[in-house]
Amino acid sequence: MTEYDDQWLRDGLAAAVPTPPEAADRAHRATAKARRGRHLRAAGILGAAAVVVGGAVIWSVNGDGSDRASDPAEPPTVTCPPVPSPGFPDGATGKVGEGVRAGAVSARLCQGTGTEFDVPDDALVTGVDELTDTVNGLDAYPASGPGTACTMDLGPGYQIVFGYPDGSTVVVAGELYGCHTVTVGDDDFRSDPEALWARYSALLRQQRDASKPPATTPAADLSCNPQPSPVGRAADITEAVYCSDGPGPAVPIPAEDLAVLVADMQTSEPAGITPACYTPGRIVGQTSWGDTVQTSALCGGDRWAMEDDLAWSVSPASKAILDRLAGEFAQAP
Amino acid sequence: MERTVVDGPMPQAGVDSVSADGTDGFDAFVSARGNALWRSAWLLTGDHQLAEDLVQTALAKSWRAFDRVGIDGFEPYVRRVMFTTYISWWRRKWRGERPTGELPEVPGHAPDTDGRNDLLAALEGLPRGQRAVVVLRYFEDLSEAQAADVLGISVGTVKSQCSRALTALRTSPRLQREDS
Repeated sequence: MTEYDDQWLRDGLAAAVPTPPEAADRAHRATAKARRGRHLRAAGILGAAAVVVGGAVIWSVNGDGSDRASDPAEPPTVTCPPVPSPGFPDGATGKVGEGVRAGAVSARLCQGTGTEFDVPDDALVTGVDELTDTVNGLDAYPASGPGTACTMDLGPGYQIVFGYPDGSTVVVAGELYGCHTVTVGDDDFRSDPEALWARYSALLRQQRDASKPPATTPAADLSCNPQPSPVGRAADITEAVYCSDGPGPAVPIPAEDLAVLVADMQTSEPAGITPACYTPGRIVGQTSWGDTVQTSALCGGDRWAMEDDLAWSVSPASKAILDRLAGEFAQAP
Repeated sequence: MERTVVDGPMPQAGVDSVSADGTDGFDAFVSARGNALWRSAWLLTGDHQLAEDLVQTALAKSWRAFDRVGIDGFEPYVRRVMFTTYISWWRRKWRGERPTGELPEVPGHAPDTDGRNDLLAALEGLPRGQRAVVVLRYFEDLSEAQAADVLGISVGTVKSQCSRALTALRTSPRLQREDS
């Protein structure tokens, strides 16, 4: 590139950039965002570590509405509603509404408006009252006004369908992006969808810890562009592929190697501060519960990012396996 | 053409977490340098709101390190977080985009795709890594070594990424009009 070209590019970039918008509360919003993320991670870790009080009846509901109940007194079927259109909390009054009424016997996590995620096959049937209390304990969303606007940061959107013995349902929608609203029914707007998301994940994990995985799970469809599950844990992986940058296809991980990696993942600890650089390398797997999970190499590749802000310190044996898989990926046609 | 990137000065070294006038050191940093970060974020994303969110995300990730890193090293720290977030996390977390037609209007913002942004359109055709290198080298005026440090890659990789990016820009149909 000539010096002229060099200057042309510098000038062109400088001229192309528009005037930044007014962002007087940028620092406040950033610190609020940091606190929200910390709360989400803490809730997930505490939930996963919570002592499970057993004795609950486990049942599950398929996405098509067919039940796989283990209790003859089956709760009514709960199915996922359609994904709603994107909304805006312009009806928020700053006051809470009636919330979720007591007595729900199931709560099923469904796809909402936003980035897609891997919806769990099983519904929550233990700790539903706790989840109800969590929703009803959320603060009211601030009253909207003429100047109300939300950023377009993108993230998952979810719905939780509460089922009642009489067959009725209440839908609670959460948006982990933009306005970050929780909407109960049509017009009860609450804040902190992250807390509800984390609570649901923690309760479903507790439920799973007290039961056995399904005998069969849907056939794994492991690609390098997964939609990860919010509740899946890498330590439950039963089948996995290795992915990296580039067009190469996913490299299946042999069972004996996967066993070494999964056992090593059990040593994961809180990630703490990690250097900021990008290192390619991902493991995409399916768990015994049918969840799709993904772990990614952290800066340098000696540690890998796990769920709940944990980090897996790769052992020499695992490192050798990962290096070999990376080589196979690079050489794949 | 003169550069028009003007922002407030960096807060002085030695700023405590809470300064004498009650202004938080982090707030002062964001006030002084937030727009500069936003401009780079805009060149990376090509969108006002995505740029704002990228800046906020980088600041949120960096906020707790403010006291440890210190005011002198905080801007490079935030920049590194912002660029690496853009390269790695961005594509996973924000791949699915919402239709803008349903979003509230934000007054006072010019469209991001008007005619003056042919260069931006050409940038959008670059892989993320190349785009980041171009912004670091030709907008932020960083050296190859500094850009490598920000991205956590070697100087050689910066050179090769930069070379490929410039070749792509030079041959981009979006920019042919200006050359003819």
